[in-house]
Amino acid sequence: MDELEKKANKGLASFSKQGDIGEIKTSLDSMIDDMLEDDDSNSDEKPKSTSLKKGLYLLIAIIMLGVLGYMGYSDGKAKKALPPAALYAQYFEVLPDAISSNERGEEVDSKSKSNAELGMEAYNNGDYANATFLLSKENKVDYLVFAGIAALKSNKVKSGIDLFSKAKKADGADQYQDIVQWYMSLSYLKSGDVDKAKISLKEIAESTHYKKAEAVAILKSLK
Amino acid sequence: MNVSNAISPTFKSTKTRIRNLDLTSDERIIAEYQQTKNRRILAPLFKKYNEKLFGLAFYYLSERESAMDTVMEAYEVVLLNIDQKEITYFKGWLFSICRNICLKKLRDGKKFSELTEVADTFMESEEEKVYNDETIEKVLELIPKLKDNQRKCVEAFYLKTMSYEEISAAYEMTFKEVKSHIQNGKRNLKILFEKSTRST
Repeated sequence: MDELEKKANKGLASFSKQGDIGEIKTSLDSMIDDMLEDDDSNSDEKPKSTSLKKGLYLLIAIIMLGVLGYMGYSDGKAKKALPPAALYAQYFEVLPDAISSNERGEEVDSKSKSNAELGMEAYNNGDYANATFLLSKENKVDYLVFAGIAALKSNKVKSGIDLFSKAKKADGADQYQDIVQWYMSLSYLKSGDVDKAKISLKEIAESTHYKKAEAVAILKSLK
Repeated sequence: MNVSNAISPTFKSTKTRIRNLDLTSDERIIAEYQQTKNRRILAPLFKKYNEKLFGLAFYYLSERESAMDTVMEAYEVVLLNIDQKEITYFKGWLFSICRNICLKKLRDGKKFSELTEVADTFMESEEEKVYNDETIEKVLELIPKLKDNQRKCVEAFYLKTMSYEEISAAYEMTFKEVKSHIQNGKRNLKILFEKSTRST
């Protein structure tokens, strides 16, 4: 066994004292699929496409419900627990850009654009790695939130959590408090950290948060 | 001519191709990818190593989320270079990429740089004080030799970059205790470093 493999085994042994490697593996598997699927399709996924995707998922869900109802399976049996990575995939949505100027027709030279503007442009074009890089340089809460979401989209969980933590402390954080808490919970799900996800989701479920229903549903699925 | 070779890869579905591959041979998967440019072919290969790779990243960084990010960054590096490089031993290459990313993160981290000051005594010139990977590796090997509370606090402060308050809350220690464990840990680490340098 070579030196690096020994270190890998040491790292795994050390991690096993504080977490479940199975959850990590499931999360990483899912991120790998995500990464290779994005590259395979060779298309830039844009936030705008979420509504189309949502419609498709809704249609599939309706058909599934109909089939299950017909087969007599909707008898109120307890839902099967889902892994955190699957729940993340089910509930994560890219937040539509509500901060960029919508004025069109005015061609602005990209050299005269600020990092924030270029970052939001990258975000809207589905170039999430670049969006994270550009927006994370900003100190304004709104850009930090979008940077965090872009980080999650590019499978950078740690960066996402750090950016949401920074957003919490930024000026005007109150405005985005609920959004940050929701995405922070999703970050913990993505990283397979069920304990932290539960704490954060419980706070949402016990409040008047706009994602209260979703938080309750996830908590039920996590058991 | 082999019949299977005569069938153009374009006419085979990805699933069939993945099934037909000998998954024990990493290099064959890579060869198949280099031929078809279908990145999905790489999924079983990446998934095969993600647990071990996470372990390696966790060994260096001691933090779950950072380790996960590093694993994904390593795969991104693989994807960027896999077309240009002749890969003879994928596993070794992948693990080296992962280690290099971890070492870069540690070198760039301000707090960890403070910790590598334990090696200062042994470096005479200022140039030498630019810590190399060997120093980082040595410091990491020595941290587990500290007393439990010192180790926990040193790891949390220098590797996980947690604040005194966060460490105090996480390990149910007073602010003073945390400070003391970090100071003593750093001092003991310096002694351990000195001993290990003399013995080599």
